[in-house]
Amino acid sequence: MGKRHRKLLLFTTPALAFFLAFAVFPLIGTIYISFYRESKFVGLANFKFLFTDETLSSRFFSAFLHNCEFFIIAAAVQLPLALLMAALLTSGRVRRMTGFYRTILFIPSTLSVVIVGFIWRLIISPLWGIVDYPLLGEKATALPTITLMSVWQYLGIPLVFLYSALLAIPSNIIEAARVDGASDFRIFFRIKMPLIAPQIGIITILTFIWTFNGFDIIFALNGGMPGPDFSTDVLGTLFYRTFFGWGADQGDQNLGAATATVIFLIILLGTAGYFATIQRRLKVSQL
Amino acid sequence: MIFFVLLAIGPILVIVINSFKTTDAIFSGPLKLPDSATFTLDGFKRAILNGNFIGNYINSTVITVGSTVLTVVCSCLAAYGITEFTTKLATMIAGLFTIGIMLPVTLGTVVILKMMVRFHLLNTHVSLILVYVGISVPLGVILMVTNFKTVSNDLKEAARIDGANEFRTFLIVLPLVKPGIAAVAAITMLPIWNDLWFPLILTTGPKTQTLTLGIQQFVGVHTNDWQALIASLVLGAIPLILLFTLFSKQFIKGLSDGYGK
Amino acid sequence: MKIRKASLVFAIGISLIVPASVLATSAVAATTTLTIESWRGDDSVYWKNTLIPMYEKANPGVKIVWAPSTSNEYDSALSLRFKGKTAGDVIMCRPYGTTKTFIKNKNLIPLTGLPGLTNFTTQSMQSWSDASGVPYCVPSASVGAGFYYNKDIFKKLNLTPPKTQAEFIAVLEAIKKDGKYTPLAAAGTSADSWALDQMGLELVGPYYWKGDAGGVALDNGTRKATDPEYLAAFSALASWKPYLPKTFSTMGYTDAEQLFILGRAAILVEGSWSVKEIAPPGKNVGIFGAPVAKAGDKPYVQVLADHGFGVNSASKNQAAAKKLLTWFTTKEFAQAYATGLPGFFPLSKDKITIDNPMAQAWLNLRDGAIVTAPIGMDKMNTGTPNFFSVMTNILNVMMTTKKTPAEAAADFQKSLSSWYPPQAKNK
Repeated sequence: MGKRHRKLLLFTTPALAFFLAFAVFPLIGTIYISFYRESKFVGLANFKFLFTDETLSSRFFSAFLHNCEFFIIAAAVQLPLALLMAALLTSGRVRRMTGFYRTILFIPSTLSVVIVGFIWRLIISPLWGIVDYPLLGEKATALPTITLMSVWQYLGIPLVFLYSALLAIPSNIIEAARVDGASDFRIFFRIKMPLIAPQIGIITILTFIWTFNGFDIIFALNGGMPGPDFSTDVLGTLFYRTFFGWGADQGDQNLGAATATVIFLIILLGTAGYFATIQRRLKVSQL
Repeated sequence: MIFFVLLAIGPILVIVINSFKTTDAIFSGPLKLPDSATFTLDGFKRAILNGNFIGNYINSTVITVGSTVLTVVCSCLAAYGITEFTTKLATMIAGLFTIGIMLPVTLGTVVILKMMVRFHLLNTHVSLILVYVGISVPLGVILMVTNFKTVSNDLKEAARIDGANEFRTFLIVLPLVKPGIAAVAAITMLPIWNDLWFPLILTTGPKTQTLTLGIQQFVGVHTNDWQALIASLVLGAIPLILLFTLFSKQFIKGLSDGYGK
Repeated sequence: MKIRKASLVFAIGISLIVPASVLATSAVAATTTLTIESWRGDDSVYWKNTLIPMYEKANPGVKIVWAPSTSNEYDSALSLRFKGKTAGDVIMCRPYGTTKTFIKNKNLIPLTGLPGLTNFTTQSMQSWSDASGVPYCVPSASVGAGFYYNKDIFKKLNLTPPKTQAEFIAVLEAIKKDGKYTPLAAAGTSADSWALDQMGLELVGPYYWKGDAGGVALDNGTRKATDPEYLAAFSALASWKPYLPKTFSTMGYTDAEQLFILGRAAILVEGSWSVKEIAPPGKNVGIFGAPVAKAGDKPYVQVLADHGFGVNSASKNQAAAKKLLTWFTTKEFAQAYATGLPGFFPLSKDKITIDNPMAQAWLNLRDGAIVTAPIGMDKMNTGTPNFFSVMTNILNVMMTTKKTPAEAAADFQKSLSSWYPPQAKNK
């Protein structure tokens, strides 16, 4: 046994080294420094400040709510759309051009957020674009608008994922259903969807993790103090602003670490909760 | 379907068209194609000269290629080890990497920053490469594991009987998982090239700026020069769009395999 | 075969990465290279083509690299670079605010005894000196704020530049009634909310809070932001609301400029640094200053010492950097700066000629007016949150929503008293 272990470790060390040093250790280290202030141990003081300081705590809770809004819109729009398009691509109606469509639909995902943000900001600008209402400038519509931009950009990923999941369904099941006289609609909703339910679940939880970690497009469009009136501020930009600073606001690495730790806990709880409840039920239904 | 395709590609085409027009033409008729009077390459000229474009391209290429190569190498080695020496430890390591795919690494940035400052690695390509490899390895390993699992044991046994050590066996098996390697390379490259967060923190200097960061800075600084602005966006988008259309199969395989597990 | 190909690719990869990394991050040894950190990317062309060659020609062996960053990210990025010891040699200094922090953290070297410093008044060096008056940056230029107006539109509608608030509103009303042009253009996005402070509140406000005295009173806590003189300032700014474009909240700083340049807006609120973009030769543009409430009163004119240059304490080329700074104190530099970057006014005592008529028009605003600096930039701007981040956000909300000036002033006072000790008693 020892020899096998040694060989295993030999082969996995490079990957493990990089992973542990630059992904795992920083996360653990961040939790560690959140208990300090400039090398002095202060216990939960940073967390207390985060949750009780007038300005910071209100920003934190707003940012959290904004992330929830971001996630709900993304899940509600991106998932069904991706599912719809994957279904269309596999339904046989567009059989010949599948590859072409798939490629084109994925291209937005290859763009950087700077480009995506700029293009869409121009298109929906009341001054230079085709929309009359100041979507990005009004508190009520700013965040949903940016969320939809993000959905436009990253639609390709769940699309490809669900598409291959649909393709993986054994064709004899579909054939049997067709022979029984089921319509395309029924086949999709009664047979295909339940079979790919686990994959839909995975995409959902990944969307959760990505949206709660989201930063790029909001920063590219609105900078580090995303308005209007902080209405597009999310945990990611709050974190950036807290540890790095913005404008005349100074950064504080320990406070930033505390913010990061809390965000990590939120994501962890969400993911764990998801796996504990929904994923288990999905696995059961597959039987 | 057509509607969705237009929605996906339309905005991009408009920008590309406008990058070849004079400023007045951009404002007066954004949807019109440039004709002989309004066609100009000025925007591109200014974007390349004023921005640090060539430098940024080189930086992004060095960082992306470097990270991808290292990721592929480490992933193949690790995946081979996991599939070959199946012990409880191997399962644990695989599980570690599976969790690693979903880790929100950017939350550890404060410590990453401290590390880079301590080792004088700020504003170096190395700092980004180290971080990116650390992030990309989990998915790479898991992808390669599914590929290595398809390699038949007979080939490996034959090599061993011939007296090859483990490393030689590994090299012999490698060509069989070429599609997996392509998929890992493709799927690793995309987020690294487009990443804004880590270059924003670790490599803000003009000598080490990546293309994505460079465009963000260019847009922020030269907000009055619409021609150069739009030209810079087009220049920034082209490399990946080209790369992707050429290697679309690999990208998609990488995605569907990786997240499917 | 495949193995060899793979290792070949690998070798090429490594051999590309290593030299590239080394090349990219090693300094050029032969000549002294000085890097200038700045947020004025807009001025890059003039620096690279005129100012830098001017110095390099007179100082062979020195190479200067102009390295601007986006204005919004400048302060935090610079702070990080100081920590990581990767900051440039010469640092462009913001007035007060972060510069004072950098001085406190010993990121800049004191410049006592630097030849040429006597060319500046102590007042102009205040924003870049420590508590005991030791200077850390060489002042370079000041800017002002005011209103550009399109002379053609004014002529068409028979209007004259207003002097009082009543005249101002009358002019705006007339343009609005005509319906063809946007009366007033300004920056309305939250990302550009600094403009509503510097070219908004601080433009019309000094008249009501009586200039510098008003700033000192807030600093000391002897007056509250909800007191009548400040409330009047908020109200004066809010009076613009009906005349701003309907989609003001998505109009950025450059959008506003574009609207005016394209002739779609009649009046543009701006800073003096924009002369080159807004009023190039041939454009029929004029300017007027902040209106007074009572006819005949002396107007106040805001002048902000916008930037200076200091030396990074971790720089390896301090002697060369100081020599460059000495050049920044000379008449030659001041004249070149004023000529090539009209709208920036050198702070040195030298008499320089302004040949750009628009720049001269900006200077003329100061005739017969009381010159004052913007408030809130010094004592209320250290720490987090601070005057800048709080005020800019409140002003943006006031101008883009139904919030009243009274509510805005109250919001500001509430926030101020929660993090600024001298105002804590004024909850």
